[in-house]
Amino acid sequence: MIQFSHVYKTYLGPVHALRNIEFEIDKGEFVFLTGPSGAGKTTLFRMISAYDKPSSGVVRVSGSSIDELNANTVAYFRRKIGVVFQDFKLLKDRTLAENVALPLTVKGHPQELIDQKVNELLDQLGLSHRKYQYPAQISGGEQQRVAIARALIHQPGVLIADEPTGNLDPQLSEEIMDLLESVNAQGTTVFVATHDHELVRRRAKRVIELAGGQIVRDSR
Amino acid sequence: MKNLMSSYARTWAQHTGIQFATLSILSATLTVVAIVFVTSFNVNRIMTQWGTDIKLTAYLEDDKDLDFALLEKKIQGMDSVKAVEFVGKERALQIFNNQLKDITPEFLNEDLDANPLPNSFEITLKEQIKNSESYEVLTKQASLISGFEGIEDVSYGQSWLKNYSAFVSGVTTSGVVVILILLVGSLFIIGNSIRSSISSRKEEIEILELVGATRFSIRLPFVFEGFVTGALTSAIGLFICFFLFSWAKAIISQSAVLARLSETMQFFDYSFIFLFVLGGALIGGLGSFLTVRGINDGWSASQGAN
Repeated sequence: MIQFSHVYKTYLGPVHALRNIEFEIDKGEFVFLTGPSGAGKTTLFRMISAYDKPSSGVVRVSGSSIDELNANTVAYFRRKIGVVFQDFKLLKDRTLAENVALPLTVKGHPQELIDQKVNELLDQLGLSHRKYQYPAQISGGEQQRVAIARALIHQPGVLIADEPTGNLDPQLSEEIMDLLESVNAQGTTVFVATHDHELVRRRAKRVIELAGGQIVRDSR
Repeated sequence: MKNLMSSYARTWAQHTGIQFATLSILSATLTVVAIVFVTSFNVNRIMTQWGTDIKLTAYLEDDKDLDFALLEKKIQGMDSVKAVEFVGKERALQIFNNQLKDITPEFLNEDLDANPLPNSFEITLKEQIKNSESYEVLTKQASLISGFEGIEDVSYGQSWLKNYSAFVSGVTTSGVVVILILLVGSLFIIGNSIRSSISSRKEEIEILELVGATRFSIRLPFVFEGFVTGALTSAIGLFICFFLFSWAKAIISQSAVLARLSETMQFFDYSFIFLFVLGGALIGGLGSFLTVRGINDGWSASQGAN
């Protein structure tokens, strides 16, 4: 599902953000990406979500090579994945329902189908009663659940989450991780970046550890 | 369409000040464009109106042996001549006296033996004087006729007509230049407004890219915004121009000298109004399109805070 093959990323300076990254994540796996701040976690995730390209090497996600994407094809690639960020990235001037519906709206699905899927998903997440509210009117944990709902509504094969619990308290963090595990249980490949070692330890999943831009441990 | 209108409404809700400023500046610009158009249109219209009244007057030599009928036939036979009317000395004096009686009655000349006025032909051309080119035709015909034996002089109001023809050409040329400058300026104004709109919605654009929106679907609301802004400001410009035109026409109609001029003045017809608004919309859309082209390439989030 996700494959990194001899991947390097160097920025101007030179700054070697990633060095010889090599790993594979199979369909249906749940994997943590850990490491201290500056280890390269976000850089790696930006490549998976096609926000950046490797300086060298090959990154393949859901059958697509990131390096071969261009301005016209990158949009269609992003429809195959779901991405969750630490800062939620919800549209402030849209309702929760409109935020969740966004991936289907951009694909041009009929409104009836969109409404049906949005209602189902918000119901599963216990947010139906808030669907006409705006992000500023709900808590951080609820916003993250909405962000996860948006990332899942189009049924992607891969869900990547970059520090999804970074802005949440421990109890909410556990709720979010439970949610991600349930998503994984339904067959979605889940890749979570976090620097919370305690959270990783409790979940007993595969761990890829980064330090200084290199993989120092892969518990596979 | 509903999504596009929602997006446009959101832009106004979030940036009312900037949108209002853009609307005001563009409306003023397009008002000037409309004024230039209506001025040029009416100047040409008056030129055409007066052009139909232009006649050549060929003054005949005071020669008792001159065969007027033959000369009239010769002039009538010219391709460009529509009609020839002989005006004898007596009739010329009557016309002259009629014109003078209200202004300087003391100069009225009742003594036909002392009539200084010559016989003449009033010649109407087929070609109306509409512009400089037709003015050149007129001068050529006058030159040709003045060379006929028995013709002493040809008059057609040379000095004022030449000046007026040059005036019309000048107005038209100046109008084109002013309109071009203003329309290019409008492109920049629209572009800056759209650039501001894009900048303020950068986060929204990044999120749309995140969920797989294509370049077309991200850019379309901004192009639509430019299109609607262009159409609105064109309509407002025409509206203001119409009031200014009506006011000017009312003032001109009150002048004893220019009253006849006001009868000739006319505002645009509905087809031109439609084209003007459509043109404004297209200018707006073009300005937006040129602005959004270089902003989103699918990787804009990679050029963001990270």
